[in-house]
Amino acid sequence: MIDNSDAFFSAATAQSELAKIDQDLAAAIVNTSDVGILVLDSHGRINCWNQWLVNSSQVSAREALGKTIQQVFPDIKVQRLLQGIKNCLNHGMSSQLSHKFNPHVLPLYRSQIERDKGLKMAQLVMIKSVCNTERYALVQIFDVSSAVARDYMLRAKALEHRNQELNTRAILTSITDAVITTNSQGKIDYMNPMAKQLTGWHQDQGMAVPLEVVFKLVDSEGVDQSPSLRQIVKVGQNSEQLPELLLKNRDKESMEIDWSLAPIADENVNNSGVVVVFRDVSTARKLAKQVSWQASHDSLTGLSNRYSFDLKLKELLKDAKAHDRKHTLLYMDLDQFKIVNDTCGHVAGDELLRQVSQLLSSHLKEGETLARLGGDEFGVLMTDSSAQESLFVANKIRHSVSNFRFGWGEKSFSIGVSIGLSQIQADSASVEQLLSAADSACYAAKDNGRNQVHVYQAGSSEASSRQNEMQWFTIIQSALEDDRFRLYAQAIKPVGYSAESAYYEVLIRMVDKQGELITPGAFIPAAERYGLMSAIDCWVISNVFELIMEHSSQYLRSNLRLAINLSGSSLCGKDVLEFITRAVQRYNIPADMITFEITETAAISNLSAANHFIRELKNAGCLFSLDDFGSGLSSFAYLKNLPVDCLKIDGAFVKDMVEDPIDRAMVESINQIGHVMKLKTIAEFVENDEILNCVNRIGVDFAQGYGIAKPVPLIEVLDSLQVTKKQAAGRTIVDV
Amino acid sequence: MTLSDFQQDVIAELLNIGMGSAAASLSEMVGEPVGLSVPSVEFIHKREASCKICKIVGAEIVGVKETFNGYFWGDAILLFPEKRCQKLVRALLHDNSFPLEMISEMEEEAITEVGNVILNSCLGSLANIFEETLSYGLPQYSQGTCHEMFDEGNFASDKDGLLLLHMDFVLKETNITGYLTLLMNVASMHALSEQIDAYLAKVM
Repeated sequence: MIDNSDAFFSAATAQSELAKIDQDLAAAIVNTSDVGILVLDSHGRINCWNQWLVNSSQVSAREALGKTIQQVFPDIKVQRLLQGIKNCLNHGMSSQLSHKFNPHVLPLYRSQIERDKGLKMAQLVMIKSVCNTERYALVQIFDVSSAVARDYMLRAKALEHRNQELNTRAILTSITDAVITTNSQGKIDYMNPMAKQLTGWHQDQGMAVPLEVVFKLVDSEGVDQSPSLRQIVKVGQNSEQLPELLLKNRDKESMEIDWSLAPIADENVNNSGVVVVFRDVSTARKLAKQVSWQASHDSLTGLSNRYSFDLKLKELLKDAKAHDRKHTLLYMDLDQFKIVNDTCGHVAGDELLRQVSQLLSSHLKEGETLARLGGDEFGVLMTDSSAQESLFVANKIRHSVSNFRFGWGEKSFSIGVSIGLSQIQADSASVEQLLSAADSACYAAKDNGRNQVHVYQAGSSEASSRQNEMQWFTIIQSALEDDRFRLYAQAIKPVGYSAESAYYEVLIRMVDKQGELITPGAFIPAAERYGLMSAIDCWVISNVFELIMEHSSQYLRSNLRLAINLSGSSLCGKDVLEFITRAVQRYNIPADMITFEITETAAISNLSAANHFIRELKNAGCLFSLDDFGSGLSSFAYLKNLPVDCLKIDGAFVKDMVEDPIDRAMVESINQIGHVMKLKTIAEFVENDEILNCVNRIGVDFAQGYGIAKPVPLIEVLDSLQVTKKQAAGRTIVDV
Repeated sequence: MTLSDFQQDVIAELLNIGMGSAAASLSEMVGEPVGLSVPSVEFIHKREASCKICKIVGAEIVGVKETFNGYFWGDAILLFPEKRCQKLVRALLHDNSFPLEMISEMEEEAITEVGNVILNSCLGSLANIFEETLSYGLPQYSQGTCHEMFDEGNFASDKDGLLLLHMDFVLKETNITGYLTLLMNVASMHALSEQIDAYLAKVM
């Protein structure tokens, strides 16, 4: 360290006229100064070299004074400094040497440590002329190291910040969410491209514009919500509580948005603006609405679906219980829908459902629910309605449906609707119970002959019979498993001549676990409903065939003929057909011994399947007869397409034909048509001789009924045949 | 008061010599050739002067001013259009890495020094010719509109005309134009006129 006293200020001695005390003061000031002070005389010789310079350069005043700068620092190569000194001494010009262009003008160091490391001091040099009797150059040297360091730091920070900002901007530019930021006055200072696109404020048009002008929110009615936006911004509302609003863009178009808002705050400032993030969710919301619509509606008819119907029903039941009100549930099933569907195709069926839906809705008031519950089933919920009111509406519906004609191509169909009605009231048990009650009532209506309204009454036999069907299912199944069916037979006899006949219709009975005999009327509807009919048909066929095989020798000669009933479900699908074909071969049955009876409705409902079924078995040699003819659609046109051998005239016409001329005419015409088509005719329900005579006069070929013979166990018939065969030598052969 | 055409030509020529030396210094600093325009000498009002400069340089400018005092006196001002200024700094610092918008007032001292070098070269040449001693202040950096800059100078209160000497220089590669103006009031102009006459008498 160079001693302070070593510093020298020779300029003071040169000013001899100055008082000594002034000289000392001036020297002290110069030496105390925190800048380097160097004075050169007009010859460029150092005249003053202050303590700051001594410290920084390690050159004592004694060494420096009287020398030129080049002599003190032989290695100095800063032309700008030398030129500046020259300009100053020659012309009195001032110069300033910035650190930027001249970083280390003189070899000066801030400390010994930095000197050791070779870290030169960053300097700013100022050259000014000082005129006395001669001209001097005052060179001041400032240590700007800290400023330079600060400068570097700031630059680095600025660069880092800039990179960060570029990064952020890049992110904001590429994300699909729209982002707007504002300053503390709520004026926009940034919008990303998506925000510009959605708001319609392109380029920088939105800059410095108040947020609510650009981000214009309206509610679903189009009412301006700027005040509430301002309020939200003001209180910095939580994103979760933001109301669902629409954004109205610059072109006045509204779109649904999801949006969130957050205050921008740093450590010091409470609120320096807000950032709004939003996205167009119009499409998503539309989709969501569509999905929710689809979830609650039937896509074919646009009516509510089962799901939303159940919800509404639940709601009404709750309401009925809570407020002791009465509502009504209608359960409707279209009659003859299946025929349209099967004869004209699904497209026609769909169209029929659509038209019926419209027809049904026209009878309903606002607030009443109409739903399609499945295939051709519909449900209606009427609020606050008495039984009478709703019965009136139900009948109106029934009436209008039965008057409705559905046209498809050249065909025209009339349909009907069976309606079950149940009251939703405080004492209703559950939604399931209500639905099952209405469903039961509906089936009761169907069973009563279709196109009717049936009101559910707890305990009513018809309705409860439907509910009992559930139990029937298990009973039938266990009967099938335990082989608890019995075969019966009822004779079908030729009319007009008394001859022995060996033509029988096979009937079935079920034996319950207590050994009681159950007639088919009790379990067949349930078996039909629960898809057990094919199994029963197969049971009958294999058991009949087995019996035939056991007694084959007798029957072959006795010309026994058996009619076996087949259900509609057996006609569809290949299973039963294959089963019969195999069984005929396995039991070695003469095929012409078997006539299959199918109902007209079953055949027409599955026309093509029935046709195929009939043709296949006819090829094998079996015969077919159309059962209950006249009870269903009674379209003779279909008859042409069904290659049957025999028509069984519906007993409903036969039993009253003696008294009722219309029934009689029906029997006559069916008989006539049958004969024209070369079919044999059979009258069912021939309960007495009068009917038999009547049938005889008309010319029906065969008669069947209690008036002819009652059903007896099949085995008895077979046994009696054995006897008969032995007795009767000249037996009439029935040609059917 | 007017200067004769002859005197104006002499001043223009002197300015040209001064600028030649200034341009050489600048060229050395930026490492590229510097082109000079023909100097113009006008006697106009201050407001007019500022409008004129504004028209040439642009409304937003950066300037380095040196005041000179002696037998004649006035302001020498070096002006750059603010927009081009950052580019000039880049050329001076030979630093292309830093983004233009980040070159800010931190570069003030660089501009100041450039102004200092150029103005000193120019004024030094004049002083050489007149063999007169002038005293010069340190360069002052300022930034703002043209009018602001002229309003705060030495001639703020002058209602008389000003002598406006001006020439521009172009850094061709970096396409930067700067403008040098000398502003003197009537009294100073008289003194200058005398100096010119004396100079001519000596040379001829």
